[in-house]
Amino acid sequence: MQRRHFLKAGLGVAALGITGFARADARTTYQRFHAALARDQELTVYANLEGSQQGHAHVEGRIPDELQGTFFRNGPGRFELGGERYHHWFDGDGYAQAWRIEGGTVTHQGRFVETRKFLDESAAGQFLYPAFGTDIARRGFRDNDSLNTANTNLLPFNDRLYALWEGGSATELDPATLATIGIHTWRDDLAAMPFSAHPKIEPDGTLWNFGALPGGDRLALYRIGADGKVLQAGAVEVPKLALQHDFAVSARHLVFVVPPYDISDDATLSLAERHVWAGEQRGARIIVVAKDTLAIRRVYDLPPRMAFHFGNAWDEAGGNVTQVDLVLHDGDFLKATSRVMEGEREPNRPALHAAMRIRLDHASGKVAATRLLDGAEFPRVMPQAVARRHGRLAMLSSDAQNTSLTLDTVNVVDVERGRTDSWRFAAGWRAEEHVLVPRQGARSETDGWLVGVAQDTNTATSMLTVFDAARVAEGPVALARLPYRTPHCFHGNFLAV
Amino acid sequence: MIRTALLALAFTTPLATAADLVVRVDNVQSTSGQIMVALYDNADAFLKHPVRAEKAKADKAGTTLVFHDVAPGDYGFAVFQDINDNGRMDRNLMGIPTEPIAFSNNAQGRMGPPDFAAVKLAVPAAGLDTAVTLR
Repeated sequence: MQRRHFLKAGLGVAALGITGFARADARTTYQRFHAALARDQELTVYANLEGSQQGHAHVEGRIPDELQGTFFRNGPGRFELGGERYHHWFDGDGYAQAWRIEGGTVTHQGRFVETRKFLDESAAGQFLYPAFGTDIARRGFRDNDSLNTANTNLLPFNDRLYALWEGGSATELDPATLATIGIHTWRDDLAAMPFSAHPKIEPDGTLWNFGALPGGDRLALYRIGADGKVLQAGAVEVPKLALQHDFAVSARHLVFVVPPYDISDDATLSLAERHVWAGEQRGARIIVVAKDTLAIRRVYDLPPRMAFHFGNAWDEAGGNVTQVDLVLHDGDFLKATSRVMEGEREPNRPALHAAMRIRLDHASGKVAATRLLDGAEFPRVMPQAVARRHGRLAMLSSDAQNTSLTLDTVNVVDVERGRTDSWRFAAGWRAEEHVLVPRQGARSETDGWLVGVAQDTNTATSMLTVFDAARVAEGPVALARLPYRTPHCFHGNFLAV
Repeated sequence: MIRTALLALAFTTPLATAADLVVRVDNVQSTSGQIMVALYDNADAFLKHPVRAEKAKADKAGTTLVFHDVAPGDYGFAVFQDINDNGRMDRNLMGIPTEPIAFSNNAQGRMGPPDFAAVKLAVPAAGLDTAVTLR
């Protein structure tokens, strides 16, 4: 067993030898958040949850007859245990949710993913293991999957359901009950590999994904057939690789953005804290990988930007040009997702969070960027447009009039004409990711619905939202309101029946 | 006669001062391949240069391996199940072991092997029975 090689995997050089130690301010974070929550009810979206949920939603308006299926969603639900509170929004344990639409009625179910971490810590009554943004080290652990929170996405694929994290394996759940089946290994030699929460599924059912361990400088790549069998797996070396959350897939390429972070080896810091913004020294890089060889085709320079989410990409000019739509944050946005856990609000600066169109010319190496929408996040396209030229991009945004960054607006952007079809929710409402759901046999990218979840923090209730994808500005055609609040999700996918 | 007895004693002396280290390996989930145990006697050699190694057919009921004639002292051991019988501990593309592993004292590192101080156990002259759990 070669220690050096194992450690080189990344994650872990952190805090070797430190045991029985947890940062003292996990309790301070708890106290600060609860003090802030007492005066600001909008912070309930970051509040802790215990137990499972099951309920019927009251439908306002009318659910379209043709919209039938399950909206599977996932996000962190448990932030607090034993009087401690995590420091980062990404740390919480995964809480899987299913909104089931049948015959115009909507039911909701929510259940924690029973990862080994969740079970161990539940039994202990306290956090034991390091989380992304909170360096807890009460117990040793085997590998990245020992820390897997399965908290980022819920993906129906090949008649199965997977709760996805980004630093480890997919966790299989029972789609009917959301009960945890266990860690899924795509192939024996891929056990405990990082498998990101943002796989892309092409219209033919092929799934592409990547995986990275920050500091590991290696990007694993996967092509998985619609039957769940691994068709291709490999890795590319990317120096100074940092948090890698999402990517885009075109007909011939995989597109990544590597933000300018240095990874500190300070053993007393969490992985999030070890991401030291280096935007003053260097910019971000776009890495374009050729699908056929799984080798890097070209690397492009960008200004210093952070990227979480990609919309889509497509190729032109026989594969010599790739266009990609994504959201770029100007500066160290990773820190902001930590501050909210203390109950701090982020100032609203829409120009710093822009949905962009990037054109990459592989022959000349030229990059051209066009701004699509300010204050944006969570871009999605219709499933039939993945890896092809898309005309519509659905995303959330924070209205320019908000004083603090609040994703309160849903948009379908016509990326060819630059027109935006938007709806802003009422004060105290907060939108979660919305996805485009095609009508069966859809003839266009607006032939279907925009489906999401919104939280009304005035009443501490959550609702499923349904918009006509061609007429978002007219407001939701249906809101299915639960009598309770659901944990705020990161990502989800609609499975039509 | 006395001389013969002394000679016999001389030959059996190692059994008196160097004893057995018995390692029971639990949580063997499959009967495939061998359970491999490497024994180390100092921090510098740990995971590099074992003083001894043993292997045994994987047994779901628990696999027991015996190091005979171990001189008293401090040791640490590393275990893996060579499920595919290729003679080495397999790793994935990121370097993480894909076959079950364990260390003496059931020590665990943090995203890597534990250090020698955590795996170190004292083998007395009378020998030692110890158990570890594969993970």
